[in-house]
Amino acid sequence: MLETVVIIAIVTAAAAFAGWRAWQTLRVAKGAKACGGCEKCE
Amino acid sequence: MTDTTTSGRHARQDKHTVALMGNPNTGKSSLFSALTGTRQKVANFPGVTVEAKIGTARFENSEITVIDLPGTYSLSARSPDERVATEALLGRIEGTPKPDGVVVVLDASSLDRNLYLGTQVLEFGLPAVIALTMMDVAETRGITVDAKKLSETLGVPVVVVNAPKGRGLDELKATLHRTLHHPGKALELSYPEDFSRGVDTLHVNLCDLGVELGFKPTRPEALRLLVDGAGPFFEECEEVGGEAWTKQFFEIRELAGAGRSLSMVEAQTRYGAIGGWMRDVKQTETREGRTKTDVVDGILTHKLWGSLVFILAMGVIFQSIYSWSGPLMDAIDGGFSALGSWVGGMLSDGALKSLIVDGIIPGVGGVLIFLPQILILFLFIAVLEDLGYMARAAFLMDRLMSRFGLNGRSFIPMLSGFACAVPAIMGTRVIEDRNTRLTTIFLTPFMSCSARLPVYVLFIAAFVPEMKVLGFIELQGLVLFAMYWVGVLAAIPTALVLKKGILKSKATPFLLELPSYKAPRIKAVGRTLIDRGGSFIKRAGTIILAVSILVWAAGYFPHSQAVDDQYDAEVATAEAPYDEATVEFDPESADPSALLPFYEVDSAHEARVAAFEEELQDEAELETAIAESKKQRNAEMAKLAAESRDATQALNDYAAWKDLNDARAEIENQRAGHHLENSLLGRAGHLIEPAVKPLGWDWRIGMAAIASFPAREVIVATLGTIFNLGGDQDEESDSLREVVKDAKRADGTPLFTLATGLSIMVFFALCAQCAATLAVMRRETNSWKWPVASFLYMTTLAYLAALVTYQVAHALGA
Repeated sequence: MLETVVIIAIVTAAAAFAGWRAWQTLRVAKGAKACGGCEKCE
Repeated sequence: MTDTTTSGRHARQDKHTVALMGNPNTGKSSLFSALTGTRQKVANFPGVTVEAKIGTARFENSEITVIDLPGTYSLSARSPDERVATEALLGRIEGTPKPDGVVVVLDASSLDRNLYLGTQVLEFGLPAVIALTMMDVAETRGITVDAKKLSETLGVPVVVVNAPKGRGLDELKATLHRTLHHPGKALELSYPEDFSRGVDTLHVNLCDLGVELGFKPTRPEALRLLVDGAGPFFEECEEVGGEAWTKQFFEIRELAGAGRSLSMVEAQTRYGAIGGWMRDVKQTETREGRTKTDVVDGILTHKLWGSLVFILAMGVIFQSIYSWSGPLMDAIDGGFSALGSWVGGMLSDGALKSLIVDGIIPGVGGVLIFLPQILILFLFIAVLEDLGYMARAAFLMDRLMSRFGLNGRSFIPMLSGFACAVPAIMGTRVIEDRNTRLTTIFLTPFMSCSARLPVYVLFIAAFVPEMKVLGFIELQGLVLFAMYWVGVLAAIPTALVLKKGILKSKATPFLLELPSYKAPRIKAVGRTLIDRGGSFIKRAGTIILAVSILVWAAGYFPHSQAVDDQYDAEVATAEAPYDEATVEFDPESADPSALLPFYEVDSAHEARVAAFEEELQDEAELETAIAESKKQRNAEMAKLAAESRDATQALNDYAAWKDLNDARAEIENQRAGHHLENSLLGRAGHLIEPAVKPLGWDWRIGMAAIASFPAREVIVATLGTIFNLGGDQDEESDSLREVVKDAKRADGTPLFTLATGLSIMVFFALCAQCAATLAVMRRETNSWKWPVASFLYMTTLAYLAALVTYQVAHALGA
């Protein structure tokens, strides 16, 4: 049971992070972020 | 200027904002870093600083916000970066504070040319201090500059600084502090009467437009607009003022020029004044013959010799990437392998263990193993940049590029595209011509960025033999060099089509400043390596980690109990014919076993074979060495077995255990493969398999390629995870290179052949697999049209090129 909860938490966190990165990339595209969205200025 | 008084009698603190302005390559970025302590890249390419950078310097009780503006040659409104500089100087950039003063950075070795921009800035009348850099370079060229006389002539304080050595910084801060409190007045040049009258008339005219424009234009701005007659500010006025304004504007221009070109009038006035000042300020020692720099430049920019040096330099880089990285890669590989075994031993079988051992460790570790190559690549780039070689290479390549209809300025961003396309696309702002800029933006992603390096290294290491060509050139390094040319070769016809078709434009002259040669600074090179290495590790620890987890989840679930039951039953059937000692034997167990000595002798033999395979290149030599080792093993086992009847039985049991172990491993592989096929990833993979089959790929490679569309290096992590989940990774072959070599298709034939490896590399060399690049392309072009066109064109081209590569290589038997 605990293992299932841990797995769900880790996978959800990874999905949320990937989603956040996608959103950040879209902000770059729309010009809301001054940087180019490369890893240097994350 | 703002004075902030805090509570307390002596705690009064001044806060100011100053802008740093200057030509490219004047040491402006170094000065910014030295003043603010902010880490920043100093490159030899003009226009590297395309965005204003902000830092804070402190002097006594003052806090000075320093804005590092793009390096420009003038404040002309024609190119976007020059307009950014003017806008920032006037405090009209949202989110950037308005400067209270300006530090004009002038290169003493090219003082005349630097003063062209200098006079333009000083005309704005902001409190100013001149930072005179490169005095040492000027001295080596026989130039002496009298800073005191320069200050008296311009009416502005002048401070000699050497930022890399930290000289003159305190004096600069103190002078700046004084100047901000006691500003001087604007520089006034004597323009011809018609010209001055034109500026005044236009200034009044612009002030009338001020309300609609949202700001009050200054006289120097009116001067700029009058001379340039184009650019974003002109377009803004045209939009606000309408046709009537435009008509009036051109009438003012005509009268101001009095039949002469306005740019010419401006240039003659400025250079006339500068020439007069220089007679007092600058002394130049006349030297006979060519300087050392001239001689070296003569070779490095020569059509034939320069090209040979360039090819040699690139060759050395790619050779070194292979020759030097081996031991470090093995160390990282060994580290992750040991970590996997340790964590695997700590956790009981289940989803969590699989997530860590099959998902996270091979995913993140599989990418991190390429850190040495990335560091070696950037070590060379940083050294060559710091040395001043890259600008010579750009000059050399400009000749070639101009044949394909490209402006020479395009080559600089494209060259930096070999590191990363994102800043390279931002660097295209220095290109004045819109069509050339769009062509350059479109072509830059074809340059092999550092994210492609792990993909090339993985497949070259797996399929290109470790051998030497002509006795000294590593074949693997040669293939890597060739892969970097694939993108360039695809970009050439694309450039021709674009420049002769929809993005046609007139050729414009290309001016490139060749910076002086400098010994590479260990600190600067070290900083580049730390930055680049840090970014790579950060990516592995963030986005690669997240994708590895998601790919693992898609490859693990749904995890059917029925499948497990079926394979448990098969294991039981395989174990049934053997006695208990054989079935239960576990070499890792603490329980004593009569089979263990035989296992140890056998393991020693396997270790010897692995070492021979690593060391010996000659097939016959390898076979002899393996046969010798086998003989040694059999003799040692026979000796052990001869000790007693029980020992003889133990040898028989050990032989049986080996057979059983192979059978069990085969069943476990089938179990893992079955689970993977049933998973979400497997089901989606089978749907796309028909599309990737002609490229020589199976569904696993297809899914890894699709997962890599947001960032191309993800393929390495994804393949690592998929092959771990699918049971293709056995205990001995723990590196992804080995797994790739050993992976099999459903029919038992090798999954990866040389043809498949080449097809994957060509696909990755040409495909638009970088979300950040597409996003920045959208922002820089202000339209989705270009990123969409780039994505469709590059992906289609990549698919077709991979298809042809595979089919041809396969037909040739690769």
